[in-house]
Amino acid sequence: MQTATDRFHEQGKRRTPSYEQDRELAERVMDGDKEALIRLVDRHIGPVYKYLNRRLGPGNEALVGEVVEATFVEAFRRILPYARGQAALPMRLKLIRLANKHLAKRRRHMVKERSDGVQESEELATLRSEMAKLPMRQQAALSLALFEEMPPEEMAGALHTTTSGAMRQLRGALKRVGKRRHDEGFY
Amino acid sequence: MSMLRRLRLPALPPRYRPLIKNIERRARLRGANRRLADALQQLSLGVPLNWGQVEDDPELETLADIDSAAQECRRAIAGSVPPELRSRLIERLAKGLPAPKPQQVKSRPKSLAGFSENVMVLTQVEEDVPSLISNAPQWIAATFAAGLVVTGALWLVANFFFPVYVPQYEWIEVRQGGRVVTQQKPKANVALASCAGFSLTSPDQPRTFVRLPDDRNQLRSSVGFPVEFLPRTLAISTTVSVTPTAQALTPSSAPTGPSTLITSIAGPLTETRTLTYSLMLTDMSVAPCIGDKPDPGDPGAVVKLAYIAQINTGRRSGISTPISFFQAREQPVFLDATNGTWKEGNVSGGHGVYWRGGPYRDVEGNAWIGDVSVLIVERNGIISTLVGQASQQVTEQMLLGLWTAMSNE
Repeated sequence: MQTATDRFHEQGKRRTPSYEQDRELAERVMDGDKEALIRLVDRHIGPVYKYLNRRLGPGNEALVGEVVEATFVEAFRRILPYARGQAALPMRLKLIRLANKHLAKRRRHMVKERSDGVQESEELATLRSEMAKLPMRQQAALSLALFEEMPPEEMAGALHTTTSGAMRQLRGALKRVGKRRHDEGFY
Repeated sequence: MSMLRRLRLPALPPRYRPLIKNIERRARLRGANRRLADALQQLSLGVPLNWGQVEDDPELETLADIDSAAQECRRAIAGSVPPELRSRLIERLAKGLPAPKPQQVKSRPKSLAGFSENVMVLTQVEEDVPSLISNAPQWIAATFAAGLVVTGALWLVANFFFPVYVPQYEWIEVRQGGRVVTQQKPKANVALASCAGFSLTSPDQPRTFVRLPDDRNQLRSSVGFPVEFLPRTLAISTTVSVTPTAQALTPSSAPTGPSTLITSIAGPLTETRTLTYSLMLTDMSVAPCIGDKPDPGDPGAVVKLAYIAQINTGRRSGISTPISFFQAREQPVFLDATNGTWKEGNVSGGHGVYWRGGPYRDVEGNAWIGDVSVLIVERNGIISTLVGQASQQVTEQMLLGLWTAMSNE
């Protein structure tokens, strides 16, 4: 089965200016340029932090920080393909994929019931509680589709699957949420 | 089959044509996945799902139900990263940075093939072959430069350890080529008189003399300083060369008094002779400074005594030559010694300069042409100037003798 990575290699259409900037900065990082390292971190730490913060919700700032740190450390350990221009995915999607991976390792540290008085609507709180009961891949698919409004192709890259696979994960998540709501009398 | 091949499909209306954009983006999505992707795109554009879309699809129904919560989440949570998290992350990542690569230094060009720097090559006899290129220009330039350096060093040493002697006078100023070659002693509390119509400091300013009667007492009473007169006679012994070709006088003895005769034998080819000068005062005049008439209170007055000197060599007589004798007090006297020779000397308490050359223009403005002898002596603020023709036996000896005899009287 052809994955998103394979398609990226075939098409070569995603070598956008953003990708080239990442490649240039990664090349300088490989030469020991600290300034390039700072610029590269500043380019990507915001989207990754926002994604994790939206997905986990309030009260999980410590976990978000920990996952962000682990994500970037692993990404810079594997920066050589980006420096050579041989990376299959854009660095943003690669970081989200790694964030999902490290978040799955720490899922037991996730605060599912907030108790710090953070103001969120009941509807959103209900959605978070329902998402917390989903498998991690379905959580990621639902979060990327709803909170990040990511297209199916990018979701596939972030989830390390095909576009159809990403849609299947999303449909499964919606099916479970709907069933749970139906059982609890929402409809 | 051939009939079927001729059939062509009619042009379909636009709504049945597949959208190229959708085909490119979601070519692999079919069925429920396709509908879900379309619904997500519709929601991202802000268009809610309608009843017809969600009627038979429970997943889309759930999606429409939770979309408002998703919008609230997108609005509420931004992506501002805590600064401490950013700094901590950068610090942690910077520790793993590789060392900066050193800048590539251009490698030295390798030696030619067959040559190794590790092998010591001894000097060969063939290498002592003299150069075929002449180094003469370089040697000439180096010699010239070394000469300049040595000359400069000698000049510095000479000027530092042996400074050039420059004669110093109070009132006499000697010039050569427009350049003053003597130094002026400081004259404290002395102010030059302001003359009518001319300046005492101008060297080319001729003075107008007023002739006085032949009365020495009247002359003495007309000026404010003591006037001195030359002796009536003067005898000088000189050694004269008697070689057939050279008849020039060679001064070699000191002047003597009027009644003193010094005879010396210098050798078989020289002869000592005694020259006797008889001086006759012919004219006395005074050049006033302030007014038109001589005044004893005139500080810038100049006295001129005109003499006729009769020279008696013993063998022949009849040489007469004029001698002018100027006297002034505390005013500058100029001598243009451009042509000729001059020398400094002290005589009978006075300090002076003797010059032999020509032409010479005296204080009155008279031009002396030919070979002229000039002796200027300053003593006690009185400046005396003796002028005569050197070609008519008015030599340095004679002028010095006149000055000495005048002082001893």
